[in-house]
Amino acid sequence: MSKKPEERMVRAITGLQAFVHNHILHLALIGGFVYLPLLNKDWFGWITWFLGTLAGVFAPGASVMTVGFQVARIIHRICGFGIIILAAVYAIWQVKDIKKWKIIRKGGTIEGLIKYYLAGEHADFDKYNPGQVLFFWVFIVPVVVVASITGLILVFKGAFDAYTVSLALFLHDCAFFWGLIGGIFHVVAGVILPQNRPVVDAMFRTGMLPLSFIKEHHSLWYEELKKELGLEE
Amino acid sequence: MTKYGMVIDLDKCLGCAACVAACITENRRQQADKAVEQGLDAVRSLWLRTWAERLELGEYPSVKSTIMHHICQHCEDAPCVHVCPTGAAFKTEDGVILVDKDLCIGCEFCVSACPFNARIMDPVIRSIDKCTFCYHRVKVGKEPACVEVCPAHARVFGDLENPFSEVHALVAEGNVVQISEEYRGKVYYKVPRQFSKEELLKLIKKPLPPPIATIGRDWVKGLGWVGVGLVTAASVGLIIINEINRRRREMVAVKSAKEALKGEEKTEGSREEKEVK
Repeated sequence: MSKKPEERMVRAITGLQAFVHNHILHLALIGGFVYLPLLNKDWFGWITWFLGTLAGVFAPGASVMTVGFQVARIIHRICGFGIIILAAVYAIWQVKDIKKWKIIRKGGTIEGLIKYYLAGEHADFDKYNPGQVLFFWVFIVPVVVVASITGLILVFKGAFDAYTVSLALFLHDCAFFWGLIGGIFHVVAGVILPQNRPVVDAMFRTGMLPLSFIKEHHSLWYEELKKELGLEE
Repeated sequence: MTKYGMVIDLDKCLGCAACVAACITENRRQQADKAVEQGLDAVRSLWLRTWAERLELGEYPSVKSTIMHHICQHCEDAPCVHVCPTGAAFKTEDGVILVDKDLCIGCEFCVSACPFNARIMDPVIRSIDKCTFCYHRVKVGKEPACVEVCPAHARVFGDLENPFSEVHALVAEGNVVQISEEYRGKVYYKVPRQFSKEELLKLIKKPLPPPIATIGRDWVKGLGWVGVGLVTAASVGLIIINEINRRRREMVAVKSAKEALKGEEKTEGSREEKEVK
C-alpha cells in the first residue's frame, strides 16, 4: 500500500552536512569550554586546575594552573584545526553545486518571517527562510572565516609582527562573542521553538523530513519538490 | 611615592653584554643549566630578559652606530597588565611590573600586548618571564644585577621621584629619550653624542600595536556579555510569545471543535425528534 504524499519522507540534510554540522558543534563546544577560564578565572579556573592536575603526572614541577592552561591550549588548537578542516572540506564540496544553492536565495519575505516566528502563523518559505539565510551569512560565515584566519595567525604568531598578532587576538575575541550570540539564537530558534523540532531530528538522526512538515513550514520548497517528485495533491 | 626607573647611557655602553650575563646569572640559572646541558637551541629565550644589539644609521662612509638595550619598560599604563586574564601581571606600588608565576597560566596575551617584545614565554619554567628590575634585590637595598655589574656605569637605577637620585638628575638634564612615551615607561635612554634625539628615536621607535588590540579587549568582553544578555532576553521573549500564541491557537481550536460538536448534537437532536414524530 502506497503512502499518502504528506507521509513521505524527503532527504533534507545530506550525510556530509550532518557530519560537518555535528562535529563543528562538538569541536566548538570543547574548544570553547577549555578556554572559559580566560573569561573568568574565579568561575572557570577549576577547568584549568583539572587539566593541570591530570597533566601534572607527566609534567611535574610547574604550576598546576600553567600546565593546565597549556593542555587547554593544545585542546583548543586541535579543535580549531578540526573546525577549519571540516569547514574547508564542506565549502570545497559545496562549490560544485553552487547553481543549486538555496542559501543564496532570499527564501521568503521578512514580513512572513515576523509572522511565522512571532505570531506562529503560516508563511511561504523556501528550504531556508530569510532568517536562516541571514543567520548563515551574518553569523556562520563571518565567525568561521574570522576565527579561522585569526586563529592561524595566533598559532603561528612568530611569523607576524606584534601589531598583526594583537589585532588577530582582538578579532578572535570578537568572533567568539559574535559566535556565542549567534549560537544562543540558533539553539533557541532551531531547538527550543517547537516549529523546527523535526529539523533537529533530521540533523542529528535521520536527515529526512516529512513532506507534511515541508508543506507547512517551507511551502515554496514543497512546490518545487512536488514537481521534482511528481506528486499530486 | 617611590617610582623605580632606569637610565641607560648609550654613550657609555661598551657593548660588553655583562648586563645580559649578570641577568642570566641572577634570574635565569635554571634555564642556563639547561642550556649548558642541552645546548643553546634548547633555551632560545635564555638572554631575552635583557639584551642588546648594535644599531646603525646612515650609509658608508657617514655611518653612526650605537648599542641599544632591550628591556621591559615598566610602563605606567602597562598593556600587559591590562590584558592579563588572571591578574598574574601586576604593578607594584613603586611602579615595577611583575608576574606572579603561580597565577600565570601562560596564555601569552601579555606577550602579544607588549609593544616592546619584553615578555617571553619560558619553556623551562612554563610561565611568562620578564625583567623585574631585580625586585628581590632592590627590596633588600641592592641594585639590579645588570646595574651592579656594568663596568662603564652605563645603567643607572633609582627612584625617579627622588630629586636627589642620579636617575632623576639624568632625566631632568633632558638629553634622554624613551622608546615610547605613550605608555609612560620608566626606562630612559641617554642619547649618545654622535646622535641627535630625533635620529636615535628614528632608530629605536617601534610601531605600536593598535590601542584597540589592548584596551579594546575590555570593550569586546563588555559588549560581548551585553550582547549575550540581550540575545538571551530576546530569546526568552520569543519563547514566551510563541507559547502564548500556541495556547491561543489551541484555545481557538478547542472552541471551534466544541462549537462544531454542539452543532452536530443539535442536528442529531432535531433528526431524532423528526424520527419520533
